Amino acid sequence: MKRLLLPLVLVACARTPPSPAPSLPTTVAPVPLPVEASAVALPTPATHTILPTAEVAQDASIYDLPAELVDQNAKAIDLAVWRGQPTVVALFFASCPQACPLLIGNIQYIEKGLTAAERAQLRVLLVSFEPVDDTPEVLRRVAKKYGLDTTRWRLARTDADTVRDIAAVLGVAYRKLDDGSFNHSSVITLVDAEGHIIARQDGIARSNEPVGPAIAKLLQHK
Amino acid sequence: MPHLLRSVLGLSVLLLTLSTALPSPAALAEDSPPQPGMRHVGPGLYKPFYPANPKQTTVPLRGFWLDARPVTNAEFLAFVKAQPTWQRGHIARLFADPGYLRHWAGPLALGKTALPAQPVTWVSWFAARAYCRARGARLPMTDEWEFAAAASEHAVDGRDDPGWRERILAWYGKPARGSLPAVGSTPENFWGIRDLHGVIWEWVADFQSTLVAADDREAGDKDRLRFCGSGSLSARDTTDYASFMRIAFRSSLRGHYTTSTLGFRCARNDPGVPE
Repeated sequence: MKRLLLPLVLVACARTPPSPAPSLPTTVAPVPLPVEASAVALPTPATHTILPTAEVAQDASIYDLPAELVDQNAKAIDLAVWRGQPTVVALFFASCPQACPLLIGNIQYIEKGLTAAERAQLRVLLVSFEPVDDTPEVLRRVAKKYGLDTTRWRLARTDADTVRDIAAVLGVAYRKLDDGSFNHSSVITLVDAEGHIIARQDGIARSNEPVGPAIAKLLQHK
Repeated sequence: MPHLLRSVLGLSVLLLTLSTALPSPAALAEDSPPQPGMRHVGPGLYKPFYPANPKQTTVPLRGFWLDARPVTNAEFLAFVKAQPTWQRGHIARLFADPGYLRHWAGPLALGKTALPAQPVTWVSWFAARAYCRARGARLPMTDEWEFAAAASEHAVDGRDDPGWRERILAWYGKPARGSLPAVGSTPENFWGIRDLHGVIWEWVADFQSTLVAADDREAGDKDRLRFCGSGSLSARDTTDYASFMRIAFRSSLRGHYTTSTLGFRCARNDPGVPE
């Protein structure tokens, strides 16, 4: 079994950069911390910028997950709506100020690197973290704003429970905040015609690697 | 708050009909568990170890029901008998790694290494969720689990009691060797819940929420975005190592992972509150 390893990058933004903090549990400095809100780095990652490597099984299909969605045209679809075509899947939400525009822009950047024939074969599914506010109308507006080709792109929402499932199969961390927005990791996932995860990449950094070349390779073998 | 109202009404009825002393809160709520073996927890003001918003040091937590002990091998066996898609050998690879229920003698047999009363382990988050769903319940949220687990035998929040904390930490420091005890082997806490510490780790519904840091809409460039996403967090008490360890552990999980010491228990909302 070949495992794809991908560092996930968290999209979250603290007002102050994290202070260099000790790892746990044995090396925590026994310094009395007078205030409750002391910034401390999480114990697991080896570096400050990257989450632990996520393991993805190639012999698993994300289409094994029963997940009912509603698309931007208020049509009931499921996660496997693009079965049969190579598909890029990502989680986002409409009111996301920075990370999601970058994510969508990055998928468009990947598309630009493809030939017209390759692009015509690629499908995109964007699923919202936000079960209530991201109505089909809001999703249509997002599609319009970014000039998305809705013959190949679907934007969809689902219930909170199903968001949890989809995030789990894509290895996405997220947390709903008091103000209704989300902190979340940003990742672009490429699945093949049958929903097997082929490649994943950071959603934020402008790059087409490794998803772009993987799309081309998938289509060569088709 | 309907539950509070019910409790008050229940209390009045008790006072009218009984001449005994006031029952403890736990005993009061126990009169009608939605499922056998559940105990009522909360409502309460929860002081998260790791608040979503650093300024919000307390979160009002609705009352809920929680299994008094983890789900056992015997219970999980009954579940997979009823739902073959969750049997070892049948389960989709997406939902569990190859370790799934590996300590059972067979897909439908426990055997010597999986005693009926031991907590079920080698279960994935997907399988744990499916089990609770089949029971008409759900996995507890992190906040709920931690709120319940913050209780010592006598107090809603034992985390400021160094002795209690050390007892818990001692377990985390003990290497997991040998076989797991039967469920219910540890003392009841304030809410009547057992085994939250000292036996196994447990799945929570939102295990994926753990690695996310505080937000800032005015965050600047991409590097900043990345950098501050490193997982800085505002911990309530940086000497509470056991809480740190649970955060670290949960953040290392994926939904299909299984391990020899990771099990679960189910939760439910109060009647009338949608799950």
